Amino acid sequence: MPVILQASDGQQFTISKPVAERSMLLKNMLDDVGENEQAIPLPNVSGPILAAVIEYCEHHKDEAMPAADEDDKVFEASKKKPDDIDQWDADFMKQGKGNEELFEIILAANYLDIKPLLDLGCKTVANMIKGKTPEQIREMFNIENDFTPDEEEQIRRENEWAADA
Amino acid sequence: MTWAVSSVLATTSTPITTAATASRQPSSTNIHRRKCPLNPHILYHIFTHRQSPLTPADLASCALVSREWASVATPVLWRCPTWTLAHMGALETALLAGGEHNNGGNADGNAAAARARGLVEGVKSLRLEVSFSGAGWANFDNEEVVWAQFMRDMDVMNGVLGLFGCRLQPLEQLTISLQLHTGQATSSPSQHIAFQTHLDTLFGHLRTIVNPGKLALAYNMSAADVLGKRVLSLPTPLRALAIDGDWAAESDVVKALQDTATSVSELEMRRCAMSDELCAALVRSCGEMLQVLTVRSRTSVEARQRAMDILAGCKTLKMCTWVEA
Repeated sequence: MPVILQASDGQQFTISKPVAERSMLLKNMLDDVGENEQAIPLPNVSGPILAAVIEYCEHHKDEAMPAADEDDKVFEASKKKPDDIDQWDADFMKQGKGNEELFEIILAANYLDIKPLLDLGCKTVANMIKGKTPEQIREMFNIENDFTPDEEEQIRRENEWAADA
Repeated sequence: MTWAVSSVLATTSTPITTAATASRQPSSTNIHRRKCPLNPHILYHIFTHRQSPLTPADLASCALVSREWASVATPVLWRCPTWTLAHMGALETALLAGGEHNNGGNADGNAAAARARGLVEGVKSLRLEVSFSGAGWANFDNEEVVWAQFMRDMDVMNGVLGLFGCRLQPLEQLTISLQLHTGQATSSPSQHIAFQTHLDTLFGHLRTIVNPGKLALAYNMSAADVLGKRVLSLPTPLRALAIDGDWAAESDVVKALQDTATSVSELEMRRCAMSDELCAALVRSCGEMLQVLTVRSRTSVEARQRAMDILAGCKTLKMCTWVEA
C-alpha cells in the first residue's frame, strides 16, 4: 500500500512503502500506526525539499539499511564504503542545489532520520569548508557573524596555533 | 611582559555566553545573513566526518564563523593539538594569562580562567615541540639572545603544562619533541644549570599529567645526554620514541637506546648509522615490546640483512619500515 506524505506547503507525494522506510521516522510511524490512507503531515519539510529527499530514497530503496541503533555505528557502517562519494550521490548533491537547499536537505534528513542522506550532506558541507577562510564560509552559507570584535579576537588568539599546524 | 599581556587579556576576555550583542551594529556584510539553521548535533558530524576530515586550520576557520560554530568546532579542534614553541607565546596570552595571573578575583579574569580551564580540560592528546638552534645551525642571530628566548619559551611551556596539572583527567596521549642544536656560546655552566632546572620542572609535569605508559618522546642526540637519566627516572617506560641520531657516534646512539628505549612499543630512528652493533643494541633494549619500527637511514644491501636480523630478534614486531634518509 502506498504512503502519502504532505509537505509544509500542502504539496502531497505518494510513494511506495520501501521508499518511505528509508526514513526511520516514517518506518517507526508506519510500524506503530499501521497502514493508513491518510496523508502524513511533515510540517518541517517544504515541497521541493521533500521531492529531493524522495528522489534520494527512490534511488537507494533496494540497499541494505544501515544498523538502526547507535549513531556511531551507523557512521561506522558508512565508513566501510569507498572513500569518495558515490557518483549518483555526488550528482544528486550538485543538481541545481544552492547552499541554502543543501542545508534544508540536511535538516530534512535529520528530521526524517535518514542517516545515509544526513551523512552525505555533512560530508558535502565538510568538503566545501576545506581551505576556506571564516568569511568565505559565512558568505558561502549566508551565516551571520554574531561575535563581538573582542570575542572574535580572543578565539583567533586561542587557536592561532592551528593556522599553521 | 606577562603583566602587560594579562592586562590586555583582562579587557578582552568577555565570556562568549554572556557578551552583549545588542549594542553591536551589524557589519555591512551581515545585512542579509542569518543564524546558521544547522543544529550543534549536525555541525558536530560535519566537523568530525571521518571520510572528509578537516585540518586544524579548517577547524580554526569554522570556530571563527559564528558563536554556535565556535561552540562546536573549538572542542573538536582542541582534542588533539600540536603546539610548537612558536605557538607558546600566543598560548601564554590565551591560557596562562587567564589561568595563572588573574587570581585577583575580577570577573573578567575569572571568566578567562574558566574558559582556559575548559579548553585545557577538552584536550585528549597533546604534542609539544620545542627546539633550539645555536650559531651555525641556520641561525645567524646573537646566540645568547636566542638562548635567552629559548629559556623563556621553556618557562612558558612548563607554565602551559602546569595548567594540565589542574585537570580532572590525565592526558590520554602526550608527545614531547625536544631538538637541540647547541652552538659555540651556549655551553656555559650557568646556561647548563638553567636548562637542567627547566627540564626538572618539565619531567615533574610529565610524571603527573599523562596516563601511565602513554608518554612519547622525540629528541636528537644533543638532547640525549640531558634526557637519558630523566627518562630512566619516570615511573613507567615510554610508549613511543623517535631518536634523531644526527649521524652521531654509534656508542652514543647505543647508550641513548639503553637509557630511553626500554619497553617502547613504537620506535623511530632517523639519521642513525645502523651498524650491526646498533641493531643488536636495539634488539637488546626494546626487543621485548617493540611493535612498530621506522628507520630513516642509509639503505644498502647490508641494511636489508640488518632489518631481517631485527625482525628475527623482536618477536612482537608487527611493522618495520626502512627508508632512505
